[in-house]
Amino acid sequence: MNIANLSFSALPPINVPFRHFISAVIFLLLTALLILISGEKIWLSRWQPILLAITHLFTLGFISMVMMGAIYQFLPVIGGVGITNVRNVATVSHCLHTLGTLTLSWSFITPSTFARVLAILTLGIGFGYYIFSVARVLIKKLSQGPAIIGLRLAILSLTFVVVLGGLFIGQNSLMPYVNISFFADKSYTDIHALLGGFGWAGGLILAVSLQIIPMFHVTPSFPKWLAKYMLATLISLLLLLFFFKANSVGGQVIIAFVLVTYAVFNLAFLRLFKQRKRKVVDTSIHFWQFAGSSFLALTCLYFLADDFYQQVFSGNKALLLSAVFIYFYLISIIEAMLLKIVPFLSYTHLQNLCLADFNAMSHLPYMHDLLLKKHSRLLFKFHILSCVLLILTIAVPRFYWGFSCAMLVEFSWLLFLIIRSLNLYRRCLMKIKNMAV
Amino acid sequence: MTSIPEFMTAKHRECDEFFIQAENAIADNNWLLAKQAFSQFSAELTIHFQAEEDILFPEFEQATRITQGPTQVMRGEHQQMRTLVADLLVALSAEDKDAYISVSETLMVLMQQHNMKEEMMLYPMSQQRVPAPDALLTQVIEHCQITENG
Repeated sequence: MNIANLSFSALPPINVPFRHFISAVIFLLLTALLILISGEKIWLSRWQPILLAITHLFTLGFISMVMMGAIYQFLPVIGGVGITNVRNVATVSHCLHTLGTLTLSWSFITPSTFARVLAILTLGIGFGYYIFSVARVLIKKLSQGPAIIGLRLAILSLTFVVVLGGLFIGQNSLMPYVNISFFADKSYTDIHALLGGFGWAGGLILAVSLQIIPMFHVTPSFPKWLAKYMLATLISLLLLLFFFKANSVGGQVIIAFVLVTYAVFNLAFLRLFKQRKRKVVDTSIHFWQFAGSSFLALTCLYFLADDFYQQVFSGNKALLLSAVFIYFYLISIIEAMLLKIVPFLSYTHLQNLCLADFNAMSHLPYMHDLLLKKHSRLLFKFHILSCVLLILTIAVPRFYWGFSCAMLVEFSWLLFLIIRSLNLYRRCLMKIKNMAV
Repeated sequence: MTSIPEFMTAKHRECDEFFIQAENAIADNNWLLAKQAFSQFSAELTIHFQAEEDILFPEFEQATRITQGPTQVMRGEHQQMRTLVADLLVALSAEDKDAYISVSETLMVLMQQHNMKEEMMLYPMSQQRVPAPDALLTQVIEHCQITENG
């Protein structure tokens, strides 16, 4: 274990994770507006260009944006070492990621070579710089716990997803002299989506929850075999899809194994929450339980006969399953984590200032003040409402406006909660600084 | 024989148990049980901090020659936790449920992120870096037993 750079106080500046969280929520508000103005026709198939733009606004604009911000914070805590020159890395990659997500979405809606070139450059350089900076920390001999190993596997998956994504944008017009037309095969899109969903986002959730759930929710630990082998098994299965087309029998069996493996992880954390000893009500646990149950339902839905999808969802099985995975599962867990991270970060940064002057602790707010419990409960209710309206919209697309409005309400509320916490942080910071003067 | 990380991690869990017992008793408005559990929690926490600050950290600092790094941060956080424990005692004495839960939530998060740093980095490094980890562990165990029995 290398201890030369070890520092438990190497927290990134508070604006680093917060700029990611705020941008992510703004991206979802934009997405809700796009859904509102696009009408019902986009819900016919997942290959509709506007729906592809919306999918990437969810995955790049919200999910990856929050996760990238959280990693800046998470690395020093679990690895004891932060990213070198974190302010610069965050500024460059955040700006390029924001611009890249916007231009990629634009290129889906209004195809143009300029938009594609801009998207490939901004996302390629933005992700490249980010992955390089995080990988430089991860290749050091840090603590060898499952959380760090899981983080490495998640970043490896992200690398595959980014390279595949770059090749999709670049095929045909941008690489006229290189024949990569085989990429037009939709099974590569499925690998891109599955590696992004289960390797990057799902993998990171698995890695982080091994540490976060037992510690912050005071539950028993995950079983050792799960912590040690599950994510590696999952990523190996996903990589097998390069050899078996996703729509072949072999590919379908692999996808079924991926779902069942990940369902086992969800069952495991649902069981841990059931064994939780604390009686104090915690809304973030409701989000986790909702997400875990949704994933189990998704796994069952996957095995249902096509007749069901024909009758209820106009044959849109892939659209329904992707929507449940992104909105019911990933977004629920990210909101659960934000409910913990936002007050925790504000508190930790203020608390660090008080390490030098204990009298300043009188100006520290309690965690409750930074995010009120009744506000969290309301967010959960808004989320359930938008989930119901999403399913209704996939079944009966003319209700799209209801889903869009529910999204606007949910994410405006989340934005308010983040800004409120940040505002209270600033007020306390002023008091502590005034005290020092 | 157990190792430093195993023993110290088990001590963290013991503290958590008493902490949760007190919090749950307050959620049930059982103030008598809450006061008993809180007093056990407070005593365990004090012994644990002493074992670290007086025995484990000095050995770690001597072995690694790092005196202003992780152990300094850990000492500072101990001090902050002591302040929050004092706030809890005030709320407990006044039998103020809302105030207690508010402080306990804050202490719980502070305590858990502190534990995470110790369990993932500091304890394993101590086990690897100090010249005689078994002797150090014996010293820590004796301190805990003598203080608990005394």
